[in-house]
Amino acid sequence: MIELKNVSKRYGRKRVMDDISFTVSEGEITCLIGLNGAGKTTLLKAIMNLTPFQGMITVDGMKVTSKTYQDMVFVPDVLPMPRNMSIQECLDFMNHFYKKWDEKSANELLQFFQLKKEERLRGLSKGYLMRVNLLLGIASGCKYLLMDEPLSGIDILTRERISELLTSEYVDGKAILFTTHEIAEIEKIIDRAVFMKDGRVVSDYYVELLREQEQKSLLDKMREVYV
Amino acid sequence: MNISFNTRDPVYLQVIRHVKLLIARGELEGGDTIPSRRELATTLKINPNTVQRAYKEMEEAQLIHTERNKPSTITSNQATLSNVRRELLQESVHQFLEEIAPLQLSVEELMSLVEEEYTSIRGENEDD
Amino acid sequence: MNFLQLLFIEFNRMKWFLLMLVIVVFGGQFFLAMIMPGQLIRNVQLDRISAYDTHNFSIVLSSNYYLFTVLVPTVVIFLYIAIIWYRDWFGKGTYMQRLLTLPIRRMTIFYAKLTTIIMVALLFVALHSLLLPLQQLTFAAMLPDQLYSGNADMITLIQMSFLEVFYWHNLLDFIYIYLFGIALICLIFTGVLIERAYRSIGLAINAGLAVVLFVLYIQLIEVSMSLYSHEMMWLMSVILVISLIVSLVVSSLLLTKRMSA
Repeated sequence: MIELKNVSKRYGRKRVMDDISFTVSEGEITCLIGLNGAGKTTLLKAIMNLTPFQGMITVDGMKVTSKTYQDMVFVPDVLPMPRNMSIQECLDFMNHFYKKWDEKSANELLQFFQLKKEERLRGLSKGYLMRVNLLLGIASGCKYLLMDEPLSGIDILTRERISELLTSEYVDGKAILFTTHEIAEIEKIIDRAVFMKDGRVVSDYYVELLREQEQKSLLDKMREVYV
Repeated sequence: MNISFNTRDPVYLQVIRHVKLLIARGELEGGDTIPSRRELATTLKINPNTVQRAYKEMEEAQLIHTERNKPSTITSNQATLSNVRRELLQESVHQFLEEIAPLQLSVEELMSLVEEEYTSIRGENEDD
Repeated sequence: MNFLQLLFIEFNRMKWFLLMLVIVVFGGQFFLAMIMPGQLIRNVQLDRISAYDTHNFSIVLSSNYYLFTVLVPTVVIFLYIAIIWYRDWFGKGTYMQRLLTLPIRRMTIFYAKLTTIIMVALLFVALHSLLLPLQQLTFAAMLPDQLYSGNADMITLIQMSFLEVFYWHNLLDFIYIYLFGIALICLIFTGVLIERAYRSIGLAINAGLAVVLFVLYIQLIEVSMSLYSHEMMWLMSVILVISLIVSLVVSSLLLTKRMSA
């Protein structure tokens, strides 16, 4: 479980995170929804200790240290690997650092994403870079997968593949937290939606309950929150 | 299975309704196997926990049966199956009646209209 | 080993650039060794210099062009001390995000980058010391025997030129020079990390620190007037070790607590 307690951050006078508290649980897909500048990415980075913040973030009850990173992996909006590397070199690199690296999943996902090991990152389109990005994240064997805008700015076929991946056994039992503004594509896929606005969590729903109890779609809720 | 979902009803209910529809149409019969939870989640690109919930509800309603390590099957209980058909019909009729309620038709008027339309549609279908 | 893996990636990233630099620098030096005999011959023919004087390879080493071929890699390596960090933030895809979230101590990144710089510097010195005799042979082959005063001893050649800065006479000098180099690289690394942690405020902090260090350095030179050279060396060594430790501690704190990527 990832637990955030009173997490805040300000750039000068602007509060990018304002007293945020919530938890992310295993076996659930949680989606951070918000307009640009709502603080979604900063929140992911705070959890990954990629940006300083006030407040408390724990993973399985412990503060984030180098050991925690065996269990949590960040999939940023752009693949964070040097572009002169080949896909194979990326796989070897990750395999070296992650004890629970899952070679079998890695090979299956290469097929699934139609990637060729010997291809260099430099020659890949944005969509294909995101495929590699996700592959590395999932095969790392980490329980916590934090993804920043995995569906934005990439081709429709890749987005479909990613949707398939998020409903597949590869994410079984993992805690997935990701940001997006492509609501239509994910509203049937996620368990839970956390709405952010101006650095605050303004509402937090299990989407099936939202539909069952209020007969509202995610978009309805979004209009309510932001208009 | 291929379902076009709406965004406001719970997805698990839409899945159940779809299975019922397939039963009513005779596309699924007693004893037929249905896709595993995993398969259904991936092909429909819906949350696995949601599929799990739909299957659980259908099991509780004894619409499907799941034995350990085997694919789930549609119940062979004919009473349950015909109930499904009846239930769906009732639902549609109810919805229809609610829609035309503001028109304040008498039962006789309504019945004759229905009969008329029904024969005309049947006629068209037979022409095909 | 995690450190070696990171080191491998660092070299993998710059291997083509490094190869190009090696070719340009040493190619340039061989080129000089080849064309300078021609110039000598021409100058003799034009009676600009005496036909009875003899010359050796140090004429090449003392030319400004040769100095240039050594300055180029020195400056490049110096710039690379900063680039090696900034590249990971501003390159395509923020590799720093991966580095900082690897399940390893973050200082490993620091040590891998430090080692990369040191190894590249050593590589150039080592290659140069290997190629220098060949450069002399090239020079000798291109120059008529009556103008050549004969092969000179490498150590003499080096001691008579600016190259002395890059080579060492004894172990103590070696340790001292490289300690100085390592401390300097670490301080620049720390400066980069301060900027990365505090951005524009960090730049101001760095400017302030640079001024303070410069003033201290001036003071030190004044003090050194009244010291024996071995006392001076000890004093400098102590200062270098202290700055090295401070730099490592501060860098470690910044990397684990204040980094953004």
